Amino acid sequence: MTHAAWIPLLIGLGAPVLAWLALGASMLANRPPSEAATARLTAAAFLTGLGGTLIGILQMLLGVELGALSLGALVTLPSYHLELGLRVDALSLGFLLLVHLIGGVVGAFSVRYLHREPGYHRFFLLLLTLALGLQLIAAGAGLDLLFAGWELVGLSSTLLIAFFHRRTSALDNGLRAFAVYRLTDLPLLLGVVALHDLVGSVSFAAVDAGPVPAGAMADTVALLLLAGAMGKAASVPFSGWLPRAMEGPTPSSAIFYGALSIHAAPFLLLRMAPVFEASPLARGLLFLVGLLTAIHGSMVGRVMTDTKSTLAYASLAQVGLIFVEIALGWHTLAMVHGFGHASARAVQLLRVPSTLAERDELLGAVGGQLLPKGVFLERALPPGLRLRLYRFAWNRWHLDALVERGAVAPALGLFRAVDRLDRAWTRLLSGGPGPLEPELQQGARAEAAAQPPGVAGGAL
Amino acid sequence: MIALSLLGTAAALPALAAAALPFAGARAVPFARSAAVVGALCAVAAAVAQAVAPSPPGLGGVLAPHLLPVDALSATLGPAISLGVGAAVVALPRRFAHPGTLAAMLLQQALGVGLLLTGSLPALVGGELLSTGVAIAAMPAGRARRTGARMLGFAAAGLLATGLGLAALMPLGSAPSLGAAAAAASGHPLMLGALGLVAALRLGLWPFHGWVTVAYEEMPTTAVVPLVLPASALMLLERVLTPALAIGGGHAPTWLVGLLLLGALMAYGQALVQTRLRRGLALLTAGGLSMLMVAVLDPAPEGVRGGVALWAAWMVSMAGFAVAVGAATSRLGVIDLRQHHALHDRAPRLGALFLLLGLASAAGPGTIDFVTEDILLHGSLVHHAWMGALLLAGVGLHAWTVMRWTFRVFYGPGPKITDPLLRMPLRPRERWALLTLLVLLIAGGLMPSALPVLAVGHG
Repeated sequence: MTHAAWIPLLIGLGAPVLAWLALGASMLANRPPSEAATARLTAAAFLTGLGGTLIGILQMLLGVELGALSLGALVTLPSYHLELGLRVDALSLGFLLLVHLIGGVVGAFSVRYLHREPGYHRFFLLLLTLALGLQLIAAGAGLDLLFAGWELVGLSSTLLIAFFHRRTSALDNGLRAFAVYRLTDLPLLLGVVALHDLVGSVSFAAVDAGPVPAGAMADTVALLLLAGAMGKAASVPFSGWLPRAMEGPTPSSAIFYGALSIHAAPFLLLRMAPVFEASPLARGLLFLVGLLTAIHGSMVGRVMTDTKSTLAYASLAQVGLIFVEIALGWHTLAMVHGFGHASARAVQLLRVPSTLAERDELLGAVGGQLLPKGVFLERALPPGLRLRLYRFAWNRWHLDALVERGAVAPALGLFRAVDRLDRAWTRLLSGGPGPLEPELQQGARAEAAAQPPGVAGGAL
Repeated sequence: MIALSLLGTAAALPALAAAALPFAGARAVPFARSAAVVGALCAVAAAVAQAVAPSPPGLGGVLAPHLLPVDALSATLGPAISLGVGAAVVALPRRFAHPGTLAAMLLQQALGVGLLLTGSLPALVGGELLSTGVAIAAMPAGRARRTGARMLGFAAAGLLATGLGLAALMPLGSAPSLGAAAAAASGHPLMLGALGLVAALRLGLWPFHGWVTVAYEEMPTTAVVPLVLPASALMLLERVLTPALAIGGGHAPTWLVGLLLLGALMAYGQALVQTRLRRGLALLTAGGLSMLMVAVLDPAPEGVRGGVALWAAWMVSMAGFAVAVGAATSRLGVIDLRQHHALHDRAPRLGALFLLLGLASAAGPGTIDFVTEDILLHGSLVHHAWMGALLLAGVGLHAWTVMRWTFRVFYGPGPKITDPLLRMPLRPRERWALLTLLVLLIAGGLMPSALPVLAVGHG
């Protein structure tokens, strides 16, 4: 293998980066391009990426092994090494193909869908940020680069959920999703460090090189990675953010929660399969989590009353099944299942805005009402139990309430109590018996008086 | 010697400018800004000169006992401190740019760089006392100065007592170099504890952060940057305490590191539940300072490098974030975080820079902070998983807080602004200050080994 073989793929991976830089710089310089130029730039980036990936796949089919490519060490200390490197195989090329294909389709769809929307350029910038993050996840040579991509995906997801930023509900939901991402990034990053201890490196080559030693350390690494994956996949018990994420524009829902972002978690698990092979405990837990998530997704999805949420929970059920497949060691099936599901679900979600029109067309064509058909197993249950199950599903298994009451509220309560103590302590030190607030208000008035007229008054 | 001359100029120039400010009359503001910028450029040039032609390991002549040659530490921190404070001086709103405020900011810039070159214990303690005095004097009369004088007064008294104690421990007649001070302190756990406590008081670590919160609440945000963020008291640890631990073959007690991390977590948690933006910023700062102290206390060579790199990266990113917060505050007054303020429509680029710099300070990917946090995590903390978990929990809370603030300050329902007179775009000074810091953070993230302390070959 020579470095020349990497050139098409490098161009393909570089195109979204350049487009991201160009669009970001122009927006930061307050000189955003026209809508058409942004659309062309995005299309060119994804098409180039697609071309590079297809050439990479062709090379693989022709027996040209691309393997790993080092782009140089970022930091080299005696016991710490951070390297910028790429590594591709069938799994990563397949994921890259999805990224560029579905990214391009969603970009093309959004050109009209978001026409004249105030955040048009912002949307495309965030779409390219997502592509950047996913490329790092798919083609990064180690877990540290994967983690950087993971964070970029989380950030772009949060900002797209809050895309319609005049709605407070969108902001609250975006913040909630971000909190879950950060919470589950914690074990993932700890897993990265622990992996270094386990195999002496965080590169995927080291993980694949030989059998990972089984034992407590392998269990720890696998469990930490699983916890990290659970947040991004919205699996039980972190599924509460998924329906809230539907606040974002439909194209972002399609690419994030139908297609790519949600499948980054199975990608991570497949990439780290040798570690899971060494840990029966983690595989067992993965099976359990996957199964619970699949049941949760299908139960809750059935009682949702809006199309996007129904599809989101249907995605969740499928990702749960993919988790089960990985736990059982059916890696090829999981890969094919993931790629197929991502493509199909993205198309379904993109068609959501025209659902009613399509239904009307269908009704017109058949000349009457459509009758529900199929087998409804729940009808075999006693009515009382059905009602209870319905309520249970409608409340999404009370997972939100459990997390809220069990973890978030106590933590925030603790921080507020500490803050009250802190204020009292500062009052004692400052020697002033009066409360802080009136003084703060005085400060506000003083600052407002210094503002140009007509500006601060309105804001305050 | 070129690097030393340039770094010396970076320290001397702002100090001279501060002394000359009363005579500058109406030109005081541009004069101060120019001095801050030239000082920062000199510090950057010193780092470049050090990379091209490294200074010899020791200095000769009369300077030898008092001055240190430029090393990886000063070549890394000098530009970071000088640029961070310089950006704050440049971005300080004109209505707050009184000669006294500017002089205090310039003096802190000078002291921040100057203390890096200080080789003797009396000079280090004296410089730190001067810095403390300037911080107290810079606070507005009333509650802020009262609190500052009490807390920083304790720190100053402790500093003086610890300095005298260290001098007493040194052999009679020996030069009072920092190395000798470290050697003298190495066998005395009480002295080491006192040094740590004094540094914690001076820095404003949780729960001693009262003066930091009051300063942020009652002073213009940008003017607080030079008082708090250079964290010059960490030099006491970096030059005396950590070498003393290394000489003794020990390391900071686990319980102390745990307490510091817990303090950081509490500070970040408090920041998350704040209803006032500037008080929240003070708490984020206190949390970051605790993290820095943890990093600096690691006596292993890797830990020292990681600690210094983290210190420099944090200084730049927090300075940028504080300047962005100052810019938002100067547009909205006291910002109540219980409401949405929809500033995005009026100042969209400020919103983007606020978010990017805030996330950079929370170890955002692609920035130098991400790399330095990673080094810290892979370093000594890897031996205690719970410490790693506390560190990451703190970073996570920090990022969550930044995102919450962005949504509250810049987004939310509000009238659609069509009248250009109601827009509040970034002023050129603010834009240049914020963009420079952001570009540096991203460039550092892509080329972290450009940081002298992370460059191959530096010890």
